[in-house]
Amino acid sequence: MWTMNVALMLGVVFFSLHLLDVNLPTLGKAQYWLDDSEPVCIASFEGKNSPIDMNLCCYGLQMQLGCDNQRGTIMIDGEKWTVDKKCSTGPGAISYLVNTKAFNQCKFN
Amino acid sequence: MKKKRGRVKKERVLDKRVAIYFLVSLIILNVALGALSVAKVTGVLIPSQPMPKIDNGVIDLDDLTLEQKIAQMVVTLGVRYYSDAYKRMQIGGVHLHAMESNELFTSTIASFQEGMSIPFMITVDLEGCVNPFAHFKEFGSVNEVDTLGKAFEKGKIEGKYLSDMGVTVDFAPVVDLNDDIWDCRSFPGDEESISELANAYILGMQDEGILATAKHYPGKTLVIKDPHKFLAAAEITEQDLYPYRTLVEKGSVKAIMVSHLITYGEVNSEGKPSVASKKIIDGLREDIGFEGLIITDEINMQGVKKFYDTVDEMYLDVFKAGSDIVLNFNSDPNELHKMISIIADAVLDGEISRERIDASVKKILEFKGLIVE
Repeated sequence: MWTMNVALMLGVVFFSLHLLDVNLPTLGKAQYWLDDSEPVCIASFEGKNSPIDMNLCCYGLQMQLGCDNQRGTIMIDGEKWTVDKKCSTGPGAISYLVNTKAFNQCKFN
Repeated sequence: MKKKRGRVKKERVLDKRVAIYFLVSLIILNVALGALSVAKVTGVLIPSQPMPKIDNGVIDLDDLTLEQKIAQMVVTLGVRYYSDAYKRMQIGGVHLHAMESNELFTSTIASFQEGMSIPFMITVDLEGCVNPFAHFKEFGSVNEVDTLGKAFEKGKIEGKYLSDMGVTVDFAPVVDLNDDIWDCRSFPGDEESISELANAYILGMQDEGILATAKHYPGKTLVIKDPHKFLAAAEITEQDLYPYRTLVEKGSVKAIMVSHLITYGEVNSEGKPSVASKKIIDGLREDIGFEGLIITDEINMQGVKKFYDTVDEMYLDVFKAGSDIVLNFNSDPNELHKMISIIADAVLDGEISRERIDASVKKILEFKGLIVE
């Protein structure tokens, strides 16, 4: 019975923190903070790829219908960029190619 | 010995009884706190604003509470889950991102508009290659539009599509002179050509009852930048302002969106993001002569947010700068309610004038088809 009480007490603590707007760190957020790679975000349309700043990238990502895992490297002006996901609203529209760091940066910032 | 055993048994029974009382109390507490948490998340705890009186399409601005007026100046993300909370606060508009089907769009819009005496402004970003409907409907890019006839027709087609769906505002066209990133969001040609094509597009779209929005004032938002940076600055030239001057002079443009960029040169945002710069917004009204709706770009974009230590400061600065409509895509109803309360306090303290708020709300309600007294 005391085990149940302890579990319920944890529940009270969790709900109280939530009501007091205290956000607990999530596993995803912890992973993001531990990931020391540089964020990569490439805007892509009809074969034209351009690296963009995270400000435009995060806004753009928010507008997409979904993201698929699509690991690969892209060469732009002789520079190699590695990406993990492709996000888009559908064919014939702009898409975003991002690495995990950029994806999480937009999600957790 | 018998006495001792009896006492131990009694203590055990007492222990068990305490544990049961404790368990029951914790269960009740968990249920109560859980219910409160759900109520908080869904925005049920946010107080309802009174339904405004509207007689034959006429509304008296004085019948609206200060919170109602400020809420009308806000456009947030159209998250259906929160629609009741938005309705209770009487938020001015909802912005729709990509969805899987046409039916999902129309049913979402219908559910938002249901029971509203002041309808929501329903906004989207349909620019051609930026297309929230791309999963089921394709639109050509504006960079392929090279005649006035094609531009007008494109505006008409897209406007009709949006109008049939129930959308009321499109955050297009882009009149930035260079789209160095995608090469698809701006019309082709020089500033004169872009201005003329944008004008034709706006006329076509507005012919179908959709408010078009020229963006992103004062220009230079679509240029390649360092992918590691958030805050961006650009030099604005008279050339960048040409489309705005032309569209205002022609009288076609009824809404202009202000960007998050820090600008210098011909227009100077004084080191702040343009959306938070009074100098930029006043300049748009006074120097460019624009009398329509001034809309901020999304204020949660990192380019604005990272400029401030707290979001409360950002809210205050953005409203003080003087735009008519503020895009806040943080869809959490509690956050929106907090923003409205901060601005209401600033009005009561005299930091923001009531006249400024009234002037914006009047324009918004008139756009929604109401006659404002």
